[in-house]
Amino acid sequence: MFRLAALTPLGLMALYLILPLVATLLFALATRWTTTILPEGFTLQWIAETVRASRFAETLGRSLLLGAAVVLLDLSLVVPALVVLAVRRPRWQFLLDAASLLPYTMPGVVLALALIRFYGETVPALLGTPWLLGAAHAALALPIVYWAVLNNLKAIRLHELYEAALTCGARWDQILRSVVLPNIRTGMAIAAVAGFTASFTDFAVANFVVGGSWLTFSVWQGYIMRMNGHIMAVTSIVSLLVTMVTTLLLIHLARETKSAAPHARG
Amino acid sequence: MAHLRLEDLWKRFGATEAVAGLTLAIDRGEFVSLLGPSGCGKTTTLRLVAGLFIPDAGDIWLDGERITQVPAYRRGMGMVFQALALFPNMTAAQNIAFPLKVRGLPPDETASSVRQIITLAGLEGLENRYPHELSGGQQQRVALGRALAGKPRVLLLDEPLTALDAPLRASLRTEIRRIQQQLRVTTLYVTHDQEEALSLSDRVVVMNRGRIEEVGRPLDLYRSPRSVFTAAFIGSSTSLVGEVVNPAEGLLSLGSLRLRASAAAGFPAGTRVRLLVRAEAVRLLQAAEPDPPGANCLTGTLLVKTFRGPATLLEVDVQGTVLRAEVLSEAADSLDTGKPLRLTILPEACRIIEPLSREADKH
Amino acid sequence: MILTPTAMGAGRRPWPALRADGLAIALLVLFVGAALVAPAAALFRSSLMASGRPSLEVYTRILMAGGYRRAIATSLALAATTATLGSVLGGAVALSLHRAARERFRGLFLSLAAVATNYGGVPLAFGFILLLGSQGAITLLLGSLVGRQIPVELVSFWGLVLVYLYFLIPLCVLTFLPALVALRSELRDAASVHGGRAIHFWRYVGGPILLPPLTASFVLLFAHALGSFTTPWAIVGGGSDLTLMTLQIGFLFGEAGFDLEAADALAVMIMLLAGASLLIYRLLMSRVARWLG
Repeated sequence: MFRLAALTPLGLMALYLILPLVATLLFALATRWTTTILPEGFTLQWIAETVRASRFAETLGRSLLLGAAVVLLDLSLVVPALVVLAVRRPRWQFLLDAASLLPYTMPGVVLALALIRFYGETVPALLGTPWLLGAAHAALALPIVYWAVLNNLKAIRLHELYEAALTCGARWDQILRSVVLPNIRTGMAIAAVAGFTASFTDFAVANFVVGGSWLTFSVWQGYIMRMNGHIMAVTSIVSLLVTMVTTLLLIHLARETKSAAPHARG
Repeated sequence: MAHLRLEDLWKRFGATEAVAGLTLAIDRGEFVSLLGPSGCGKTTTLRLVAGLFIPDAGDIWLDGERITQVPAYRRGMGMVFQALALFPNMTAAQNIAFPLKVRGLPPDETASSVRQIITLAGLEGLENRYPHELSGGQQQRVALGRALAGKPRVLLLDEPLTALDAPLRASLRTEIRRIQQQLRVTTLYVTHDQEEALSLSDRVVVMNRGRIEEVGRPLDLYRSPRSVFTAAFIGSSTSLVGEVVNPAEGLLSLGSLRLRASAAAGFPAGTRVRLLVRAEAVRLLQAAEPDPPGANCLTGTLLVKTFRGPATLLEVDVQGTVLRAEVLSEAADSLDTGKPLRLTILPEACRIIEPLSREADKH
Repeated sequence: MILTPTAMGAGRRPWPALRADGLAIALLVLFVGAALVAPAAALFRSSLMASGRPSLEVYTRILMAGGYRRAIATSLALAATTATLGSVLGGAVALSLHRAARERFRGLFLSLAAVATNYGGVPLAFGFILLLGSQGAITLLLGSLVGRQIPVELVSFWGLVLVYLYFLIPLCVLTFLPALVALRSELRDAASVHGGRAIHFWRYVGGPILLPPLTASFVLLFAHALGSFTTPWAIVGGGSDLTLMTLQIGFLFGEAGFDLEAADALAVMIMLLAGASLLIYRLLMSRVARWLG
């Protein structure tokens, strides 16, 4: 009885969360659905049209590529820095922790504005280029990547492993390859998936930094929404699928972290 | 009349009987330990007394009042939890004051009671520290202080010392007993450590699988345990199975070994019995020492030597049977494993626990 | 081979020289500097200039002028409202999850929450328009039930609140639920045995323990709501009185060279508010961490 009373708010919440998704799915499959409560009929025509739309594959491919590139950039910046910090220069941890949180003070439009104002004056050639967008996304995703890797490093107590490896006579590159990297695989994977999601779902930065000259999937969605609702619905389902896949991956990886963490209590 | 009475308590969790028909009477001011391996129901019993669990059957009486259905917050008890459960958002003093605060006592009265408890528990200077700023032993004292603050009718302790290191455990143990005796509060103490139970309690309740195996004073349980379980649980001993050969001489045969046990006289020849020989009753004979008359004299080979501080535990192979002997570490120092040893056991020291049927001795 | 220290290479530095160390850290710091610090500083600078001289003129202007002033007021009100509702509802949901739900259901719900909190932006706005727009399914449903057209206006303050809550409530649940671990069942037992009834427990123990993480969630939600652009942009579109700070910045983008200082100032205000929120969040969460031991 108590169980039921507690579950009703949860049920209502779940309903609230699912409804827009269901509506979008129905609209993607509807022949017409403008003046009636439920769709008038169902068809796969919109899916076909969306896939055929020239911009679909183009923007989707771009966004996927961009996401991967952003993750690569962030990981190559974050992992070496954090490893060096953990092992050699722990006193700088505080500085980097603070730096990693800066992106949270600059949400989408603010970041876009700042970049355009600054680079507009200093390096105008960068404006409107995917390079600037990549850097912007890397900045956006930085906190996520940083903290995912850091948590993993903390959990494996890298400093202790490093000392153990040293006493076994290992050199730094051997330590990096055989001790460090294999043990932060999960953290890096989490960083990659979460960072990719941040890049893929961004609209504001992409819209203002590159806009129409390098259409990303999200920005294209912004245009499509005003033009054809059904195609918009189909692309939304694509977004939803991407989000679901990344979320499930993250949950799976997070569970791995929990089981792999060494127990401190003897 | 007993201060706290447990009458035929039953508590089941699903298919498991955690507590099965437990009956126990505890006098006012008595310190009683519930001793047993994990899963024996001792913690469940404690929680039943506290009111955190309601029994499926049976009753609990406190001071003549039936408290079985009384909710926990109205039982007027104090409890120290295994995980301490100190309120992390409160200082030591505030934690201790909690039972008084919820009773609605005026602040100055609360303050003076708290001060008394702080002194009693040896926490001077630490009143305003938060739990995470205190050491394990200090946290323990705060938990004890909180349990005592409300002048509880019964003090309940659930393995409070398990998480502490050995020297701390020993010193806190004495503290707890001292405070308990000073306040003369009826105390129920749960532990799996027999040394703790024996050193603290007025009486020990040995539990096994939800039931009481035996109840008695520490010395009685130690010297004359009435069940194999108790004997195995308390102290170091060797449990053996033998057959009575000659009751008049008290002679038993254990395989190829012959032992004389005074208790064997009470059994007809041919009875199979289970014997208990306390490790400290097995004495080492020096090389030149003659055999003491009337005692069992055995020769065996030393298998294992385990140093335990003042005493050393020896495991000796005597004609196929392994006997445990506890000797002074000085004496054991020169012994080497694999070498022959001479042991002696007085016939009175071989206690017969129970006669066995054919099937029972398979265990 | 004799295992002397030098033979094992301990004489040589096991890690590359100092310069390489510093390089790894420096690269990251440089990136942050170039991508965030320098551009942010530029915004600060340009917002504090008027006709080439340092002044607070821009700020006073946007705080007085009708359009900007309304945008600021609405943004703050929206952020405060959604953060409050989001934390209260999110907190309640988290508590229900923690207490009542079985492991599998909890996992399922949390997955749904994680998807929901990432699903924002254009697709989310679109989904809500499908439901509650002027021709939305729910709008029409309500209309047919009541017998006449119901003026459900999604493009309104409360319409935005409704949509914002979609990604804010899950965010609260995801950040607050771990803190509920601090409320171990033993604390409840300890309180009951020593005389505390439910109200005592919540007043002296449960409440004080949960307040910091819930406030931290509130602050997080506030900053998140304040900085949202895409969702309100997609809902409000172009032709409405309803305006927010982020929308204003976006609008000013399009007008090349026109009053970009105002955009700068608005952006700086958002940065300061978000920065303050972040600081408060970290302070509160470190206290939670200390208590959890």
